[in-house]
Amino acid sequence: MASKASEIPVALDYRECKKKLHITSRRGEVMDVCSTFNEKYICCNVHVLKTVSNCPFDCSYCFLQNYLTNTAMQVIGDTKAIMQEVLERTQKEPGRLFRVGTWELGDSLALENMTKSASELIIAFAKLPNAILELKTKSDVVEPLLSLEHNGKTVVSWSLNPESVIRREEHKTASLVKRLAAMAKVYRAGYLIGLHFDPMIYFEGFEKDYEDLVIRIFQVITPERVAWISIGSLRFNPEMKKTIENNFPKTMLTAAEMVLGDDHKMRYVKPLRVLMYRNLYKALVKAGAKDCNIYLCMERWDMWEKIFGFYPDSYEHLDYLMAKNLYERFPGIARSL
Amino acid sequence: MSYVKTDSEQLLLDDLQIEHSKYCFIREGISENNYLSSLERSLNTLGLLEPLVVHSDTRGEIHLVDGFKRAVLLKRNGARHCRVKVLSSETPLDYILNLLFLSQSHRISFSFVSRASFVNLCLDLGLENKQIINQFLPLLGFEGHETIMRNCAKVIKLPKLVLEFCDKKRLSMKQCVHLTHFSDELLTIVFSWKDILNLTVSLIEELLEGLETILRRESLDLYVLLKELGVDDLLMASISPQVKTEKLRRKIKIKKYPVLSRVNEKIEKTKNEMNLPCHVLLYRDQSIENHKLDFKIHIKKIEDLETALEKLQQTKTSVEKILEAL
Repeated sequence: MASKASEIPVALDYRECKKKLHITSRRGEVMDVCSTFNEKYICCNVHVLKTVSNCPFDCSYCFLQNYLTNTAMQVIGDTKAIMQEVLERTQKEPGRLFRVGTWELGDSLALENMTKSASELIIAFAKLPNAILELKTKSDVVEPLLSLEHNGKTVVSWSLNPESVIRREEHKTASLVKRLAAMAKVYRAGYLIGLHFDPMIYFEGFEKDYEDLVIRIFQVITPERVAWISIGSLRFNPEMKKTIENNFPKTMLTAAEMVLGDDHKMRYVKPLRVLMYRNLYKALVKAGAKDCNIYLCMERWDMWEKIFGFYPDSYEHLDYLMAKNLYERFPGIARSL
Repeated sequence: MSYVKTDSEQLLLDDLQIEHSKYCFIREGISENNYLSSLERSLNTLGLLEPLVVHSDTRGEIHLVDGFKRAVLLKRNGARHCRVKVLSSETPLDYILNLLFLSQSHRISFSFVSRASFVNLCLDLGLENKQIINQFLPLLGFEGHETIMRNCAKVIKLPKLVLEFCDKKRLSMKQCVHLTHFSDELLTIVFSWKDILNLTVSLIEELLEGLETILRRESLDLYVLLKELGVDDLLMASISPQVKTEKLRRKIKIKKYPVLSRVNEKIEKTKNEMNLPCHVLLYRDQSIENHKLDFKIHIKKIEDLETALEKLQQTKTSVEKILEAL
């Protein structure tokens, strides 16, 4: 059903709200930088369009569980107004490449069969000279995208975990098999692909499962068309621990060895994170993805050094490195500049 | 319409539900204190000046509403009858509860647990949620919301020992609700240590969190874990409660953070090998999140600086080793 923004009741029951979709109009600015920004952790400085709020999926680690004040599931249907804002913002810095995602508060594609809003954004971004759209999903909803004129300006990304983690923690999302099948279709339709191994989950035998995951991904796509790969581990604010345990009594996520970071988030202790990242990075290198803009999401500089042997000086520097990599590997991205 | 039957009448105390009155909102014995002895003296010298208030229900049972302490003292002192004001069976429940609140507001408002007990009494007696939310929650200083009622209902199910502690220490709603996340078995064990160890509220929470995390992670039985940690021996050891507490905390911490503990142990070993003079202090982040070391040098005379610099020159390898571990 479609609702005017003013008609949407303030909903509090997080799960109940996942059953009803409201199409709203734009209220205030929707373009922002990723809200996980913190000076002690290196951020990739991606921009976000807050066009989706809440999500039909039910991941046990999802921060939306205690983040949203109004948990009503909403998608802004007013693409024209959104694009006007994006255009104004990107025109102010014509020499900069903006990466813009729609996944900040929900899944970019889960509701696409009903809303078609991602499709409208793809067509609009195709004409923008200095911006790329990123649609990040745990779904397999890609059919509406396949015949669109995307002009190589949209990266369709998947948040990925081994099947065992998907079954245990990523409830109601598409299975790995389905995600990979959808990825193959999008790949054949000429889109750039994004891979997000985030949040990585620590468990007994994680090494092999993540290695297998990488192998399976590169059985359906080639590294040459992977725009970027992010790596990050489970993190949540301490207040969320009990929320997770209440909503998912069987989850073992919160029983892991975790410490509080300077950004007030719980993370696996550093030696475990190093193990996980090193193992995954090694698998990615082995699969030929070394040059695919691999970055750590919200990690400290010393973690970068431990994994990659270097670290960006700042988030602006990482932003620059990512843009440079994209220009070099995909000259078409800069074609209209 | 008056719901009070007569001005006052005599009632056989044995016919009156006192401890088992359905309006007894918190079931605790009366404790001997100055107030009680003063009340007893007054009853013995002046008698019962104000009648007790009772409610005669539809089944003919008579439940005490106001005057619990006086009723107990009268009975204890051998009285057989007392004067009462009787609320008829038609008296609306919220009127009675309002009266109960007014007569015991001091006790009811004492802590979150006592307020929750009152809310629970309202629920048990069948008062509608809407009435509790609109009428009684604001009276109790709560926001009129269903969540508060749910929290009260959860908290009141805590083991008796825990409830008594929460009441006595006047723990907040948030603190009490937090305790409801732990099993009764674990709560009962940890709270039974409160007289043997030096336990503050935050320490209790730390022990509960630690034990619960280990139990879940390792799918262990609580008693197996306690045995593994050597808790019984520690509790019986001839050492001060403070030392016992610190030892127990440490044991649980090591078990909860095995990887971190190993790294920290390694770092501490290296640090000790550095043999730093006592006026040179080395600080680091115990969670090993921050990759840095801070040295602090206390200088009272110039020689202090010289010895510090000389010693620091020799610590390069150790510093490198520690940084590598961070």
